[in-house]
Amino acid sequence: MDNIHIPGSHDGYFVPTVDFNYQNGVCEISGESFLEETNVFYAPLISWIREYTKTGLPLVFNCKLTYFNTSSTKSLLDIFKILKKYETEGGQVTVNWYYDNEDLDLEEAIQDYITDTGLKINMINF
Amino acid sequence: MDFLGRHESMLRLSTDIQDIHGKNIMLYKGAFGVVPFSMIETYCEQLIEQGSLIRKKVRFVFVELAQNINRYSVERDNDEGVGFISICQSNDGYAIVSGNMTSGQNHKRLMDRLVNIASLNNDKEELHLYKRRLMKEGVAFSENANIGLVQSAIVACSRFYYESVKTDGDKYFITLKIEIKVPKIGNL
Repeated sequence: MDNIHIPGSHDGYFVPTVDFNYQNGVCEISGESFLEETNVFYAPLISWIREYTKTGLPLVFNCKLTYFNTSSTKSLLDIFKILKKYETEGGQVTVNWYYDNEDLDLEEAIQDYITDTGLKINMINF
Repeated sequence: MDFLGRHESMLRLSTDIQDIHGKNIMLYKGAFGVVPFSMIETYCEQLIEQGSLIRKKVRFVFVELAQNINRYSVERDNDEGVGFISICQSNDGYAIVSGNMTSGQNHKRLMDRLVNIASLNNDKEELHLYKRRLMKEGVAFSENANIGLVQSAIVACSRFYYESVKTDGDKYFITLKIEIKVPKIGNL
């Protein structure tokens, strides 16, 4: 599997920075997510995670998104559902969401993901 | 005649939505391609004096309403939805107002969402439940979901106004106003 690196950008739309690393099993997405074609952007990331879960190796997903619009919400939900399924099937999954704990809107959004997927998400203030 | 000129009579009908009593710090009308999204960055940074969390709320609501116009406006310019959006500043916060024409087919679904959102009366817990119910029903992320409006109501946690005026044919002019109050005390 190839690693994925996408540099983030702000050019009207907000492209998050993505680093998915096969060698160490760490996937990181950071910045802001508001895209012209959300599905097109997230589809390869979702496919990558699906492929990775076939290896049986541990996976750490670090989310440092500070903003995401509702179109991005679905893609993130899809990722967390895949991770939950992997965990249920015996995979070792760690999900960390780094956020500003004064941002209650983001905190509530993360809580919604926890409720909707049953996935444990470590909420880490930074 | 430009967009606002053509729809001036409809805008005048909505007293709640007109009741802003503040200064208009940004108005965009036209096609909702990338331009208004670029503008919001500049305006939020330069004109919204409050802290980053208030700016974030204003930007969030702006983006969701702008996307709503781009997707659902029946007036199109190079496949981009046409409408208007403004940010107004009042003594106690900000109001984001948007307007666009929608089809009769979209109107029924949109009104259903708006009535439900308004009836929940800023109750965050109920709004979250409503959002999650839509997600479970599997409609939340379809083309006609309007989940962004529910999330905007959650983020704004303030008054949510809407106005619908039937125009010629099977079309409606929809105006939305979402207020974001600036807390008097505490960190922003």
